[in-house]
Amino acid sequence: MAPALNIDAIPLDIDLTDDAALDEFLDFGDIEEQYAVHVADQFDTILVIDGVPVVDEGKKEKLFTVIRKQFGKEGVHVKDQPHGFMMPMDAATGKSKGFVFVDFATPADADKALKHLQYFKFDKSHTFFLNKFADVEKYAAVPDQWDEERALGKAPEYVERGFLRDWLLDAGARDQIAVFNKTAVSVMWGNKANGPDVIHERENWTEGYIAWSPRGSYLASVHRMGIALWGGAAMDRLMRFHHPGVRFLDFSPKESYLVTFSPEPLPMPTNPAQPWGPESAGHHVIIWDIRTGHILRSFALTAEEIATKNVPWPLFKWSFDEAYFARIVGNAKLAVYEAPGMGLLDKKSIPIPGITEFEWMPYTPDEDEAAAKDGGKKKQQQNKRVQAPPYTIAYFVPQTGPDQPAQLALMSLPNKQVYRSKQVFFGLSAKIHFQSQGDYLLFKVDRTNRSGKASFVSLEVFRLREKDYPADSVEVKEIMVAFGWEPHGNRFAMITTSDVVSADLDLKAVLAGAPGKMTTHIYQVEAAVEKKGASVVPGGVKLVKAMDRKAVNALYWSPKGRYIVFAGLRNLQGVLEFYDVDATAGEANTATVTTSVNGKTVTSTKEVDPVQLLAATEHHGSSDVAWDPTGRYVMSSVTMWAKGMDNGVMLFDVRGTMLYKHSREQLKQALWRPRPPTLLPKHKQAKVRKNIKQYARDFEIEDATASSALSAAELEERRRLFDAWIQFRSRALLAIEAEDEIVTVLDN
Amino acid sequence: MTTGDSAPQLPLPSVHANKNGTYTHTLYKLDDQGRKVQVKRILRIGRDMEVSKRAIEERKKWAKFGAAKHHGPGPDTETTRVDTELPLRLSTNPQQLDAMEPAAEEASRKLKDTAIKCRYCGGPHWSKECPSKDIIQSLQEATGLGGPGGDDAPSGTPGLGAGPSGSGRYVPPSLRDGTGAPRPGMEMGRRMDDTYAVRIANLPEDTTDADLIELARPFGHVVRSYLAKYDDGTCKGFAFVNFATMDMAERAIAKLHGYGYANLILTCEHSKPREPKPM
Amino acid sequence: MRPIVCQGHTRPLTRVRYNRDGDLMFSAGKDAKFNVWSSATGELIGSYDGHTGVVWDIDVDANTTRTMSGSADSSARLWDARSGKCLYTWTTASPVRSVAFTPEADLALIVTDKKMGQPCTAIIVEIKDNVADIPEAPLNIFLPEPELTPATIARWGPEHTIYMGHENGTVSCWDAMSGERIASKKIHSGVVTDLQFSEDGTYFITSSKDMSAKILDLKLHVIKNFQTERPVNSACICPVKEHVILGGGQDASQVTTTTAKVGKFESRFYHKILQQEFGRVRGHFGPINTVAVHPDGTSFTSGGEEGLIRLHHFDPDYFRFKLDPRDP
Repeated sequence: MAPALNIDAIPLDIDLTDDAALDEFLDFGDIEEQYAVHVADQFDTILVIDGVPVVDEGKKEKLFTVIRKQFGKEGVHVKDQPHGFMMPMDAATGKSKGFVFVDFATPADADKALKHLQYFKFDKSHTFFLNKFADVEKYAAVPDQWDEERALGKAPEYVERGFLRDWLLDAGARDQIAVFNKTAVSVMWGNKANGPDVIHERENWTEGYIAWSPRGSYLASVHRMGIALWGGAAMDRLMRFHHPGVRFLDFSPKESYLVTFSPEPLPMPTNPAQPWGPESAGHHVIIWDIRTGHILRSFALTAEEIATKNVPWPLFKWSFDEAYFARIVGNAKLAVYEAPGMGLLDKKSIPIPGITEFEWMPYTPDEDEAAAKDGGKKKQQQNKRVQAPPYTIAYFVPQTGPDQPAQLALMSLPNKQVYRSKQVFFGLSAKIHFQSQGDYLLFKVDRTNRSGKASFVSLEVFRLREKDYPADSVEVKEIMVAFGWEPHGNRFAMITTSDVVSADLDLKAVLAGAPGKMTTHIYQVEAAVEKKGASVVPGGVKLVKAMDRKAVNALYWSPKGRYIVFAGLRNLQGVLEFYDVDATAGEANTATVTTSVNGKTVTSTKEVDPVQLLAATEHHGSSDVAWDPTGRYVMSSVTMWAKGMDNGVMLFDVRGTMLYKHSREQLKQALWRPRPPTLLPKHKQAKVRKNIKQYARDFEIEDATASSALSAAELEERRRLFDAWIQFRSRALLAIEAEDEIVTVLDN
Repeated sequence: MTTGDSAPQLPLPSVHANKNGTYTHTLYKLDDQGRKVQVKRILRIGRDMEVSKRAIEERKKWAKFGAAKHHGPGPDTETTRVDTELPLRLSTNPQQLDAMEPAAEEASRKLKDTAIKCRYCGGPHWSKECPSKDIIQSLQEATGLGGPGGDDAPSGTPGLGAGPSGSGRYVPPSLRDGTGAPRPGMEMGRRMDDTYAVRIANLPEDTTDADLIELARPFGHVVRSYLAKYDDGTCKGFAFVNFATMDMAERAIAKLHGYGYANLILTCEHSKPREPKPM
Repeated sequence: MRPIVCQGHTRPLTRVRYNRDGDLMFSAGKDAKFNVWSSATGELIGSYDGHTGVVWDIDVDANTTRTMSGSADSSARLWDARSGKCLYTWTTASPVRSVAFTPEADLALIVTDKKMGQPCTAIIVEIKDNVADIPEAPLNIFLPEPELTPATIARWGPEHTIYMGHENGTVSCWDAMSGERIASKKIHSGVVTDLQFSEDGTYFITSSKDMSAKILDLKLHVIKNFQTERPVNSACICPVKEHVILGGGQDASQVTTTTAKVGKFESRFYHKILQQEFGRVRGHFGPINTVAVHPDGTSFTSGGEEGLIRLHHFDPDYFRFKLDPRDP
């Protein structure tokens, strides 16, 4: 930038080669500004070096020269004399004070010196300590007292989060239901009768949808700019997670982490409201720490996933204790990460070419039987039951070539050892279902026959509590519509349909098809039994009952097992059938029946059907059925997506008796609030079961008083009405002539 | 406790019905001297029960007249029948009355499974305690048919088209009172006495015999089916299906009446003998 | 409960009534039929044949010796209850809407409709044991004022007073002998459809298309109000328990998309003192036009638009039910 030139001001007789003369007329202001050296900068070249040998005036110069030379060797240049060194002298002793101010040629030299010459060993008893001159000021200003607030800033106010498990303290042990209808979300108690009690109801609580966390502590609401979590007794907003355009969310099993997905890639962060760093730009998935609200890590999707917009959700599957989470990458690798570190296990993914499905095994450590002091008839040989390793992943690799059959495998982590596998010929795809306790595992494999023309399904059932994890295979020639393991039990149920399998089959049409074409099955998985002396009775999968000509397309086991509801949702009229699959529990499976045949009495043993229909009822247009977390109630909902009118929920008890109906216009979601696992140890649970009769009596009394309870105001009003009526009647009757009249004087 | 009218602390009045039809009206007041008195008034409001009873007995001897002139003793099936079990739904909470409907039908569905069943009406009580025993017995005498008065309490459709043949069994035209005219579409050759017929209506045009059997088969054994057609084979919209047992017929009615079939809502009811319909 | 269905009418029912002793139940319909049934078994005892138009109202005297009917054929008839023979016919200038015997059955009230150019008229006639002695001229005729709108129902009150319900919801009270209006008040906001007295005659219940029924005292003060969401066509007061029964309904409003499996029209039970609904019974396939309760409170009858009469004998549950511990 050329200096500004005021041509007119220059006298004509000036010598243009005389810079000094020109200087008078040239305005160097802008350049000066640009290159002005700030006062502070001046000290950027000066360091204070401590630990310098103490010398007197005479040796001073020599010392300087040595230092200069040595620094020069390191490539650091000290300014030339006389300003290079400045050593203050102590007037009293006549010697230096042990430190020197060194002015380096450039600030870069000073920085270099600071970096590389810190703790420079000048000689065997002197080590240089270097500090920036400017810092001296700073360090001198450090107060003697540590003032945290001044140093770190004001600490944020402690906000009480409230007791997250507050709802569990309800005296009536009721469960909560969250309902999203129209634009409002309500949280209410599910009562036994007469409809629910609404506790919280807010308009526009969510913009997208709501979801409960797996242990019920939080209610998540989806908004345009992120997720909000609500909880505590007053359902306050506890945390916000800023993820623009978020669509899906997933909680980790123990509610420590939140995974969010947005189809919009994250932009570069430009303001503090965006909590992610520049390394997250372009990512779609974020994992958050729920308690602090901080981002732990963000993840990118594979190119294929982005291109096809096909993202399986939940993208990451968590191990039972949140120690690991994993996902399949590109059908070739299984990426297992550790939490909370968020790094890949052993820093690399596990290569499993062709992998399409995987699931973590649910795991609950067997309780120490020795802890069960009461109820003492524990069999000691059952102390150590076989159990699969805790971090087990089951995965499936489909048939890739004529010599590579499909693989069903169980791998344990972190040693990545495949400890059990099975080959299945012509297996094309599979779904993996673990039983709730991790006792059994089922692969539902879609297979074809050798030529590839006919398709069928085979169920590969592994028993994970027996030595060597034996497996059984059951062939199913029909199309599977629904499947479910009995929680805590050894049974599974499925719904199939016998409509002809053809390549052009439209499954939707089949599912919504004419009534009476579905078959429901209940199977039992039995362990091998060793009988004394006799040979081992092999275990296996046994069909308990099959019922055809049903109009159902979904099944729901009670979370405690034993009871199941088959439902015909959406097009199938809302049929609900309640079954007890263990109706003969505790009793013999056979019953003696006495009949008279031709006048003679004949006794015969009859197999008593353990599967009994408790009730066949319906909730017209039902689109969803859900058990409450305790297995006491079943809620059937008609959402606005299924039917335009008659939206609402209906509550049933275990036996299928309808308790009440609650209408909600434009119902979108109705969700039970999950419960955390009970804290009662097993032996205490057994004790409760033993004393159930006692408890039942007390509850009956409570119920009786509750149902007839009216508020004090209502009772008062009733009394008033009765009295007023009596008065009215009495007055009116006075008008009628009496046949007879008796007057008696009353004594006080 | 103030009464509003008189001085405080007087007890409330009361009205009490007596056995002979009079009422005792008791009230309390202060007499001229300010003393509390109880006044009992006997009022004749109701009727004299003795006189009433005698009159009722007399009227039992009345002969039938007018439209009932030719009726025999007891209820005539043409005019009187006992309907299916129908609860008077009682609740202390008015909201529950709206929601109680499915429960009521549920209850009648469950009647099938209860151990105690009345011979006459099928209700969940002992036969000797049947409230409708008299009526049904006289109905049975009148029609000359024995047997239970119709298993009218099946899978939940009270009041649905159990036609004037109140006993519930299919009565062939020849045995019925009144007209002996053949019902539409029935061949007289084949005896269908022991089967239970239902009439399905509002069927779409393109329904075929096979469709009809397909529709009816889930409910049980179809003894006979008849689809009313025009000459060119187009379905006239109604059909008759005979089932082997009443249970099957009732199940079919329960499921098919109101069933959405090819965009039409079907009706399904017991097939009635031909007579002027009450509606 | 297993209701008895009485099929004796081919058109909608207009009135059902019990006699004083309760053993007989009378019904009238738009098919011009007037029938009598056994209230215990529901069997048809007989019919009073002769009218040629809708029979709007019927009555039976206290001793069940004579019955009376009023019809749209502009006549009111007196019948021998036992034989069905028509004893006397009064011809009126316009259709008859209401007929009623006095408790002594020495007088009868006939109220005609405003039609065919004729005003609504109340006619008091004498009844004699020997029909030949019945004078031709009525004892009294008076016209309720036009601004009250035509009367839809009229009943005797105590001491020869007459209580009427009108089309615009007014309830009025008259002295029968002088024809003077004692009182009138706008009670309902819609047509008054029925008016029934209590057993002791000290209060009565009115029902209206304004979806409510009310209990009024003799001075036309509203004592109780029973609210529903459907027009109420008829209401009666149970003589023993503190209940009232309402019948009504509206065709269009009963349409739902759920499968209509059974007659959805219901009779509704309300607690008379607490005004709260506590019971319902379904069964009718059309709106309920008329309800009546047995004088002992052991049964009730409802007549529907579909032409069916349903006779209900109460279960023990009904008698045991207490909405409030103070219930008798």
